[in-house]
Amino acid sequence: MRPIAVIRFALSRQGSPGCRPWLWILAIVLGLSCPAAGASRPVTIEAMLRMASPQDVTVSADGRRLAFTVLGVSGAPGAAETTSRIYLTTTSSSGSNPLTSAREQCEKPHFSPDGTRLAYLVAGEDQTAVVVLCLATGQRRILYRRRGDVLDLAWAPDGKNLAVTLSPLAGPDGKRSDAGEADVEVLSGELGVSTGLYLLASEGHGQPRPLVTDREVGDFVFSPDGTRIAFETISPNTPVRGRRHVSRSGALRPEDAAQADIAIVDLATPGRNAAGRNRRFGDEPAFFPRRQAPGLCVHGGAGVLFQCRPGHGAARYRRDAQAIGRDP
Amino acid sequence: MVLPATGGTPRPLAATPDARPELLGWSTTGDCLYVREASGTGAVLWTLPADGSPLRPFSKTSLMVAQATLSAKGNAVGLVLEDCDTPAEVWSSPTEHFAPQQRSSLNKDAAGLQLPKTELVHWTSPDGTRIEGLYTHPVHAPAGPPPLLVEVHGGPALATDRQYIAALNYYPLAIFAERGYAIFRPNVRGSDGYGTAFRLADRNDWGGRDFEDLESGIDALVDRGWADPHRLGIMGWSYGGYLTAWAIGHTDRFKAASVGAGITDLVSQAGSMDLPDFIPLYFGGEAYERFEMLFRPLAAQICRRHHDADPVPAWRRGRPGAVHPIHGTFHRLVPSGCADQPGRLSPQRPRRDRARARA
Repeated sequence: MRPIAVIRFALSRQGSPGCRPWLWILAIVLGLSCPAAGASRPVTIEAMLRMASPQDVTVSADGRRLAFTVLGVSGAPGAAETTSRIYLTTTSSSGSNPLTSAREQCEKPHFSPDGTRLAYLVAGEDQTAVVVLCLATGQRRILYRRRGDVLDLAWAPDGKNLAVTLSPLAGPDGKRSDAGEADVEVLSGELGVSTGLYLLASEGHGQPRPLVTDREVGDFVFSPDGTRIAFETISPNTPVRGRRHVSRSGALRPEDAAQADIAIVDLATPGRNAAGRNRRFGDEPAFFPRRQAPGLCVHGGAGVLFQCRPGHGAARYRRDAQAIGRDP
Repeated sequence: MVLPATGGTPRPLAATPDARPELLGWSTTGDCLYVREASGTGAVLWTLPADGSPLRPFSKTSLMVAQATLSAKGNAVGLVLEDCDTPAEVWSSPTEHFAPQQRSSLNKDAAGLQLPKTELVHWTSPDGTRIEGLYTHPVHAPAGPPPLLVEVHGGPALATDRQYIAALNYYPLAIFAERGYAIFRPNVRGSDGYGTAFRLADRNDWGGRDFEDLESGIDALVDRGWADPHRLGIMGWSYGGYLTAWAIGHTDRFKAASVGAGITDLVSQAGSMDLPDFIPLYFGGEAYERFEMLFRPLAAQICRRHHDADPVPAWRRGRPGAVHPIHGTFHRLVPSGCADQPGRLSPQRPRRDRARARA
């Protein structure tokens, strides 16, 4: 029994008045002989396995709610399994509640623009599902499920669609014939293209609508009016490697580095990409409306802000933090 | 950079100190942007004015901003804050002024853990460059200098940062400290958080100045009485594994080493890793263009020592079991052959254990 518990018992009405002095003496003796409650204890593997790691923090549009992924470990050392659950909290509380089960591997929560729904990914053995959860009712619906990865997702401003980037399926022709389940969509892709951009209706079980399949897509973002998507890309014909552009001295020549573009896809005519070309590598595009920072709108229209860096590789590697320079 | 949606010339905004910002988004009024960026052993948020004027610090906290995200309206940021002695939790702050409030208590059980003390250390490398790192004291102060474990981060364009010391990571650092080891994590040349020139300073020079940074850092700790020079170990993953392998191939000072997914063979790495331009960007060309430069580290590690003609590599002369390679069989980032080749020359054939792991 810890000293603090003895003190609580002594202060309570449960102990008879006659025994209280003895309880106080016992508490003092225990206090001298035992570490006090809350005293530090050594770090153990078990304690480290219990540590939770919050990731993928996202904030609702009004800034009042936060959702995030919590990576953890369940089970004993040697037989531990990783867990990935989504939690919800508000800016008026200091606690958080899990929204998803520890049996599922969930990640990348995204609030709908009105904050009533949460879209996230559920990774299975060889499948990934896009799930939409109604925060008011707790009802969840699998919007789309496929073999292979769904890499990222974003809500359209009106909440009616979700843009997703999908990795290609294995196979020499870019197709797979072993789809198995009927509700698993098989997408074909161009050879050499690792990630395409697709549109999913947030209601129903519609098939993904291809927007960009002829080039690799990295980060992407909807325009505020929802009519366009800016995305980071490298076209298949672009020399991905910088070898032709590196001098014998080893110095990079960024002006000749392989191109990556910040491109725009118009949702009304997805086949006609109005590219905002950048001769260097682009990254993390972000639309801004005309009323914001008008001085930056060179041609008077809405602009796209993005990051660039010379000589970094394909977009999908960007988050691996392997870039070695990013100065423009 | 800002680019008109109709096309045109990108226009730069003010530069950030590390020239590697993570764009969070626009402010509510559209007059500035918020970015997150590594800064030394931490990470901070900056306000980047849209008119091109100099940036301003936003996250005025001693904690490291491990992650940050901005609400769509730009009025709030969600954060993950942590420090060596503070476990990661979710926080939020309005953007009109930085006032972070903790929003999760995921790791409240960590409150009673007996943590080692970690502090920032600086030293001067032989060429005069000031280098920074983290030094973690043993939990229980020893009578003399403690044994030292050196951990080299991966990347190399990453950095040792102030992640919670008892968090799950490549190595259980807090447990090492509990068992009497000091831990040294240097941010050698090539690391993030110290500007572009520092990040690019290891081009064509893996195992050169970066190794001098590491060696001089250990020397400085030995001089302070913070490390027992006769009880040194070294460990690291990826590039950290490279420098670990390099270290034990070039000096006998380390008694044990752990090479995790170590890049021990740059030629194989250049030809088979799934970042095709990674090695060319660091070494100026493909393996067939830079063969001598890329093969030299492997040769130095397993064929002969660097400064003398001793044909027996340090790797091989080490105590049996003193070098522990760890590698995933299907690791695409660092081909598993990198674990096999040095092991062929070790006194004991490496043991292949099967381990189950989730990516």
